[in-house]
Amino acid sequence: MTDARERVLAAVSQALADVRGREHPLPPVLDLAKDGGDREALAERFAIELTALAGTCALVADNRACAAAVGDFLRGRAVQSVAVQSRPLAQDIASQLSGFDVTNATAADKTALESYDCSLLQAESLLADTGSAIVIADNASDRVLPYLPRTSVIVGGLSVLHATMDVSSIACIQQAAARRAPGEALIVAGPSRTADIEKTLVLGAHGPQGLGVFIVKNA
Amino acid sequence: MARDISNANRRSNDSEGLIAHDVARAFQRPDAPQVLTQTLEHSVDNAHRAREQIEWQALRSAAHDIKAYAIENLDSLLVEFERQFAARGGTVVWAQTAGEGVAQLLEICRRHDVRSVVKGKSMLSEELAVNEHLESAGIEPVETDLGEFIVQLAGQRPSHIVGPALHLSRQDVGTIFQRRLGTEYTDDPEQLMTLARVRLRKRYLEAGLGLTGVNFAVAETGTIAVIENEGNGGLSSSVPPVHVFLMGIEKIIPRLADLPVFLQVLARSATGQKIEVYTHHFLGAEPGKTVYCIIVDANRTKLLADPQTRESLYCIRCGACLNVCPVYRRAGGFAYGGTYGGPIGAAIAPTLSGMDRAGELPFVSTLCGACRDECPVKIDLPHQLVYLRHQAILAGRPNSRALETGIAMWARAMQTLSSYRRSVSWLRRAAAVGRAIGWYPGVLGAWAKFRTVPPVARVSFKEWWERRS
Amino acid sequence: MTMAATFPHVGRYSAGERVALFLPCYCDVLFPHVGEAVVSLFARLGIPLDYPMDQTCCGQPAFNTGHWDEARGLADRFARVFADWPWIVVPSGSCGAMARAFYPSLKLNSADAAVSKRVFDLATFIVSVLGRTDVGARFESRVTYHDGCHGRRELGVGTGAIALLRKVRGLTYVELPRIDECCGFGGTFSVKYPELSVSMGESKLQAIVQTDAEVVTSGDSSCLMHIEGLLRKSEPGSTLRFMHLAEILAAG
Repeated sequence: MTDARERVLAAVSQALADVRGREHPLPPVLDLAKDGGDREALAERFAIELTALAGTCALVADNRACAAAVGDFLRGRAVQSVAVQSRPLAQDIASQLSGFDVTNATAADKTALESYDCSLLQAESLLADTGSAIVIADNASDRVLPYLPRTSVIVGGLSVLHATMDVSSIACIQQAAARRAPGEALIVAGPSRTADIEKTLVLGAHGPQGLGVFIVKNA
Repeated sequence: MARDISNANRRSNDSEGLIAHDVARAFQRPDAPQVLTQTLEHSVDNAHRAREQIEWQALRSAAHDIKAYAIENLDSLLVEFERQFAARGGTVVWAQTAGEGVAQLLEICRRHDVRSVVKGKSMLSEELAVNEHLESAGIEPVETDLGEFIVQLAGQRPSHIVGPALHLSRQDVGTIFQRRLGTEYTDDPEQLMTLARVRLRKRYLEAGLGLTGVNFAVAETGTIAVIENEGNGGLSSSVPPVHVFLMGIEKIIPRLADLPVFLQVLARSATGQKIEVYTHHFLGAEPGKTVYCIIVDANRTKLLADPQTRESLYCIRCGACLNVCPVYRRAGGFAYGGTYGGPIGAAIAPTLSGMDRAGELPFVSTLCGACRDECPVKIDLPHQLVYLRHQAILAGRPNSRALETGIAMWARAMQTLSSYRRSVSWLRRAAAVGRAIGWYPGVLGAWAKFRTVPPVARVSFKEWWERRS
Repeated sequence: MTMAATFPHVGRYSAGERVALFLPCYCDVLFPHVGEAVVSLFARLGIPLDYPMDQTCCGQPAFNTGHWDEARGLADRFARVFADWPWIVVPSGSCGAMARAFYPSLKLNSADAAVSKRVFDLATFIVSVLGRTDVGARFESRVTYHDGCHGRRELGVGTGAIALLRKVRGLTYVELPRIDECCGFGGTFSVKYPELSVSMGESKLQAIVQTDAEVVTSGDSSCLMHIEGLLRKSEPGSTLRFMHLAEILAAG
């Protein structure tokens, strides 16, 4: 079926024969950038949005405070084992967690990650008006990490918090695409959910049932 | 393809579902449960609330314009997408027909010795009847989206683009799980979800291949965006060693920077959320992973070739038009007899599945236009429907015999004042007879069964005006 | 949507200009009093109104059922019949939409196509072209308004119609819940798919009942015919009245 390509492309070209030279122009990139104002006020907005999605959010002073807050969150959810993404902030916070069984996700076989209670990920970007975080996973283990464990923790610096999904907020995705990074850039907004049964909301569909985002002022 | 007349009045067993004749009948017995209207009214209200917080009109105009450009430059953009996708470790395969699409998938399964496939939600896989073909080849398809999982267990087809199991009550689901999974009966949605989650965990971990649809394919970078709430799409694509994307040619958008426009209108139209829980941007094949993208035409180039129907390719499959359609709410998804229901289904099915199967769908509408108001990419859906009605007439497809003859006759009578007046006299006599015997033939009978028939005025306006002068 | 947005090029009426009445064919034979009401109203407003006798039909039923060749023939005829009038007024959002918004789909020659811009539904003509919302009417009743879909979505009729109703002396206007929902008439739809049509009509009746209105009005007699037909069949004793907007504006 090597000629399927030629047949499809020929059919497309032929179908568009009437348009040639009269196509709609490429529209300029629509950038609805908003002046977010004070970043800490934005963090409050982020927290409101994420809480409405049944997630948890905290703004902390530094990495140490972050590790402490994460620890409390994990104890509250009876977490014992944590698998960490191979990203610097996540690794640093993980190294300061005590009383938990912490492993690098990449050290485990991806299917073994099913047995971990919690994932610890890094946000490359945070979007205040939707309470969402952008995570970039470029290897097999980091890719399954956001979905398999029952609880998920995402840590990110206040400096990567944006008001809305404008072009600058997805710069991390654009850069990853430009350098031909493998894997996936994931925007995640709260714990997984479904309303497929009678439109009744249920959390923890296939992905995590609990999600905590920790925003670090001086990461 | 010659139609098998022996099946003319029977429900077809193949994936295409009901044939034209049955489609008309299905709408004459609308039987969607009342709860569907309430559910969808709620969805529409949520969507409207969600849109109040964004520049809705600016975004939908932008979405429309980006799609217009993309569709008109589809040949060059498809080639660019293929180049960029391949540069990041993926393999693009092409399919002109549904059959070729299935064959490509089966070949990939064979190559990688796949025994079971975990599936994220994909309308296109429904359209191609992927599950049936996999089963015939001895490969087990496992639907992972909760709604799709439920209808798969029930042996049914999905009834709505976004909520496949909306036609089932929680009690129905409890019974289905009890019978098919052997679990203890429960109708608590949370417990039902947990049962599904546990059951599916194993399936993700053992599957040889994950199959997902595509929401948007970016030509500039070969990036594919897939959007979902449950996480099953993420698991289906990240756990198994092989991942296959199944995509229609129309999913292309030009630039990565165009994605935010679509992401912002999609959730707010589909579910009334501000954003869905997971927006995956597949960048490239990571070490140890094999990734394919099967690009399928399956009659989309026919929609493309007609400048009038081209706009229907802008659709981003949000389901908003279904949610607001008074016909969909009352008849439900199954009445449409195919993969795509609601106004968009009526707009594309006659071309994708053929006039024989779906040519009646554009007629099952009052052309009220509520769908056009909701559409995040501003497709003029009523225009699509009335244009397809015209195409049906050109193709010699009868509306219905009596009505057909009636309309043609009446239109001719309207061409001169004298024939108009003769028609009015005829109408007066027929109405008098009808009133006298209390019965009206044909289409008037269909009116009179539920509604009183207005009397023909003794003095028409023309007569009144003439007497004045 | 403002009137200006709907009709960016609409001019203003100049005193003495003649206006042609375009009366839907079904109104001619079933609801001639609607035409009579428009005549009476325009007399009160002092606007010279003609009725070109040769008119028959705008072609909408043919267009909506896919018979575009027949529809084109009627559209061309319509343009010829109304060629000599700068303003054409129709007491129907549906027929008005056909002439204004859907004639372009028929690809008429440019001379005939020009007629589209001269056609106005009654409410829009009074509010946007004449520039008035008070037509000196008096009608003491509790009234709700049904906004027919084509008029609403193609022409923005409801905005003008409601503005006019609010200025009628003695009239209490109450908004219909879910005013944007179709009544289910849809022309041939009403007889091809009567179950769906009736179900939609019943939802509309339920909304009307919620308003406690004594009178239901609309810019479209076709919608009213369907809704009233349902009510009279199921509740012959009901005292609810159905009147075209023109009849209320001509009253008092």
